[in-house]
Amino acid sequence: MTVPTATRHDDRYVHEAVYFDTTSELVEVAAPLLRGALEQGHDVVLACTEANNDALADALGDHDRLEVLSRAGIYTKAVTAVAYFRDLVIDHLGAGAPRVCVLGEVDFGDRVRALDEWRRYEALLNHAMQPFPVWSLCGYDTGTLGDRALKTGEMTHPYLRRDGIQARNPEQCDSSDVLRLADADRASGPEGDPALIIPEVRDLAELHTQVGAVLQGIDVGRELLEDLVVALHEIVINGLRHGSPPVSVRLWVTAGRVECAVTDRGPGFEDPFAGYVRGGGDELPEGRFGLWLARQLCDEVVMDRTPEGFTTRLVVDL
Amino acid sequence: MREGLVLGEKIVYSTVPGDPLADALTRGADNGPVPLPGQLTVLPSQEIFPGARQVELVHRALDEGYPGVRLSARADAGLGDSRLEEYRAVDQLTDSLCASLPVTALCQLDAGSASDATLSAVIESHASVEDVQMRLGRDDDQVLVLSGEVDFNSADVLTRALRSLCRSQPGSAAVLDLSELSFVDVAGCRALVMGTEDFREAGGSLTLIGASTHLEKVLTLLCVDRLPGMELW
Repeated sequence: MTVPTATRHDDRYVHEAVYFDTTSELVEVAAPLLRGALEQGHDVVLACTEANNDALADALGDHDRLEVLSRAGIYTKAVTAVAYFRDLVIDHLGAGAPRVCVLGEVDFGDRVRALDEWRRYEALLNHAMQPFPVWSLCGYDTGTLGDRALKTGEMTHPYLRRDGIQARNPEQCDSSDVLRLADADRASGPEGDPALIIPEVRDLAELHTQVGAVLQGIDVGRELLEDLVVALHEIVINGLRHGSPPVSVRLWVTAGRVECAVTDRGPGFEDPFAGYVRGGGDELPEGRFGLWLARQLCDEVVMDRTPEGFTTRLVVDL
Repeated sequence: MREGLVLGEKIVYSTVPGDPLADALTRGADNGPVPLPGQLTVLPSQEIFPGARQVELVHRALDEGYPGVRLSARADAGLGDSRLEEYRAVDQLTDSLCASLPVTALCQLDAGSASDATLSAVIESHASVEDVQMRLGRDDDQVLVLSGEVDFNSADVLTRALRSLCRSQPGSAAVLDLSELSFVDVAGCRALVMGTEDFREAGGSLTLIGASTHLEKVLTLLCVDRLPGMELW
């Protein structure tokens, strides 16, 4: 079924994958859409490869409501990229834009498990942008991307645009299922004995000291250590507040990564989106910020029900 | 107190029943300095309140040739909620001693058991506040300085201390130095926000300086730097 450009005009969130082969094809397909958005009074943001950004900006010409962003630093990891675009959109809407159109090309580079991160990013976008009048166009370059990346687009977008024609995507999977899939891939913990075992955390200051002492032995920078300690601290507090005691901590140091497991004896929770979107309001209300912070500061945060209880695993790649 | 012992100052420590610190100070426990004869006076706290005794002790110690005097008292010992006026009188007396003589006063308060009114009264009457983990005060250039570790344990005291210091802030621009802050969690960041909210809403601005790379990241992630009246340098 062909859905005409009408989806641009309403105030819903529209998440669409645009398949293209060359820069000129991207310009041919996307420039009229973006021009249309600008004419409607909407803001337009480009976050593509440098070549594609340039070609699109050339085609659109100078415009007050066109913002061109370099991808560098945006796609570091899924949770950071989603937060970045969410804040960006909130800023644009706050400044008076009735609707924002963002054309981006995802690239998690040569990061470990970049494709998992990609899948997670697209699934999170469906969730995090839902409340906003935004049109996300994700460019998928069939000339350079591999099959798995192209498949990721099909799995996560409610709309696909091929040969310039937008269509509803019957193949789209439920976003929470996609997230659980990404998590399941990482659920196996490290082998070998932990470098630190605290059967029951009673004193958080002591926890900081103990973790610091273990990591001093290996060459982690101060910033990375501080990031991990505050993430661990927040997850332990969550366990103490919302779970059941005792809350235990184990820490492994393996080649290239530090991994912590925080286990409480409670039933845990089910929400796969927990901690992925910063809580609402301007004044930092109670709740869920700890998990949000941990997700931002660590490379992986995975929760799982285990025989011992509810375990949150924090991983920092060195 | 131990720093005072090392500096050769006179220590006047008022104690309440069950306070282990008086005994530890006397014995020089945990590798602390052992007081010289006459250097440490331990007395029950009712002798500090209503206040006449401490003036006498300070003057006598200075007459005896001590370079300075350090007073420590449990603020809550002098402070049932019905006795706020009496507490304030002693507090003013202590303030004037500190202002005119080489006197340092440390007032202790059990923040866990103190009532709201007590905690606020004690915090408001002091130039700086510290607990086991953290300290908030003002330096000679009127810059607020927060040091140590702030987490949910100290967040409540920090919130009140910030409110109090913001109220006495000269002008509408305050600066908070975080360079000695070694740890802060989400609850601690919330305290920074809540404690300065009234000040900022009244048009005041708070500039955070000296944040480490890590701390800057945390404050940014929690959007503290995006709040009205809040600036991160």
